Amino acid sequence: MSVAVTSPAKPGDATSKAMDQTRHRTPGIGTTGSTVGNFGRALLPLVVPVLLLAAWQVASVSGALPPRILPAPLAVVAAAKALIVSGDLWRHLSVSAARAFLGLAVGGGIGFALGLLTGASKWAETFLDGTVQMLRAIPNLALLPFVIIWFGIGEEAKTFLIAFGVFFPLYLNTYHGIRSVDPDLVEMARAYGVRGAALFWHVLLPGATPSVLVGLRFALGSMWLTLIAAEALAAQSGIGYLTTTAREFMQTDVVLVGALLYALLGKAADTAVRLLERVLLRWQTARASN
Amino acid sequence: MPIVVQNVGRVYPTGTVAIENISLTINDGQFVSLIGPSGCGKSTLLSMMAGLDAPTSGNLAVSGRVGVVFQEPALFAWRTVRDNVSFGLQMQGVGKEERNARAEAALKMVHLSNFARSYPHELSGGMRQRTAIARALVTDPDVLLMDEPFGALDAQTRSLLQSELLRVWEQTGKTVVFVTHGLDEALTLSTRIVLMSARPGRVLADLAIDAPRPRDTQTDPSLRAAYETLRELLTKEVESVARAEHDRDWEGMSKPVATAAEQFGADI
Repeated sequence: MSVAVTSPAKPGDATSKAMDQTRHRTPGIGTTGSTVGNFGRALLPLVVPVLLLAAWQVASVSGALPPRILPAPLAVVAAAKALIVSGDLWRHLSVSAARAFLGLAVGGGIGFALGLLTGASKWAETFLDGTVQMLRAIPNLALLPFVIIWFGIGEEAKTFLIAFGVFFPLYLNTYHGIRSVDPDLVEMARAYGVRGAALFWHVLLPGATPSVLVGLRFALGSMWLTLIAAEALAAQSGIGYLTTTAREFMQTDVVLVGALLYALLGKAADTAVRLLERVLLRWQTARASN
Repeated sequence: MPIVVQNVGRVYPTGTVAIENISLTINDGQFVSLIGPSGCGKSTLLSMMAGLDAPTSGNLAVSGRVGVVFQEPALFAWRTVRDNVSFGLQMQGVGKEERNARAEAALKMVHLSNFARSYPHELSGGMRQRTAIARALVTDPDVLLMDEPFGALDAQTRSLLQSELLRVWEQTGKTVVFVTHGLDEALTLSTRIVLMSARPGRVLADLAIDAPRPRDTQTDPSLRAAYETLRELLTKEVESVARAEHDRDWEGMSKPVATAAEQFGADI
């Protein structure tokens, strides 16, 4: 299977990773085994986590692991249940998710748009790319003191930090995606008189899509990390608020629920992007259907 | 007369003269091969006919619709074979149903009907190039411009596609301008061969080839004769280039250049 993606050096790793994942989905050697064998094989990876959880529970119940250090697994389940029943879990979860996606929409939107611009226009590249590359060297969390001075500790500060963090991966990968579109395709399209907007919609944008999606994955990673840092800073609601408050009351079980919620959000976003890839990049994995 | 080239010259901004004063008239239904040493400007001439480049002097006019096939198939990886073929029609604003019907007819001509729904990465190199030919044919062009279309294929696939191209040409009566490195290929296909000089490109020879088809370049006496004529001219041209380069590089030091000519000769 050859995939026509010429990716730039850095996101190239992620492309091959994404391809590895698609490869895992295709049936491999395992399918030739018996049903029982397959069932056992499916359970095998679960053995270690289950044993670890059991050992953890035993250590907690026996008192070897005090709840102040780490709560028992069942205590975490109970805490999650209580939060679900009270409705707090959903409330904090949706506040955090909304925060993250607002930041992604603002920063990612601008990054995508500017990437398209500098990728498609030599003039825009000369004018803008140097500046963006300079700003990229600044880790977004290093701006925290300024962000507090500029925006206080409200929602704007959080949105800004997340937007700043997701801007660069989307900008860079969109720019490189447009740039790495096969010049032969552009030449061919020009032979059909295709120029300007049509060239952009039918040639440049679809050609850049695989790279843009790689950028989106990178952006999600940056988005969750920034969200966690921003929410730990100060918040009146959200998962960060939940865990910060719980820590002050030594409710380690709730702290752990918070960590699991972040993991859940991250996983959900990653799954969403993977679905998006499956729809937009169907051609990469397609097999002859006739 | 679909293609008229009058005193055309092309000078690049760097000052390199790619083409110098070429005049050429190509008639309806002719199959013209452009051959010449590497860098002689034959691809540049073709690009100008395709409207991808413009002459810096002289006039060049192509009447009727033009279809282009490049050395690389240049297919959209994200479009199916059928949607690649119908690209030109889509850009002309042709409706989806008509587009698909015409794309499928074009695919039939190159024997790819069964792969209409496949994606380019599922095809072999020869099939991809056939897709590109179907894409050029689908707009029903009057002139088919081909820039070394079979250059990147293996010998067997090349000869298969050559006979397919000939069949399409005989069926449709289109005018074909075909850039190639291969004398044999030119002799097999063309009704006329235009030999261009080394840069700056000029017309060295213009031969009508009217041997009967199917042709065997090894046995047909008129093709043998044409082969010898063209090869001699081409070798002389390549030698003079090698000598000029040699003189420039060695500034009066004497060194035989026959081997260079032999090397180039093998390539043509």
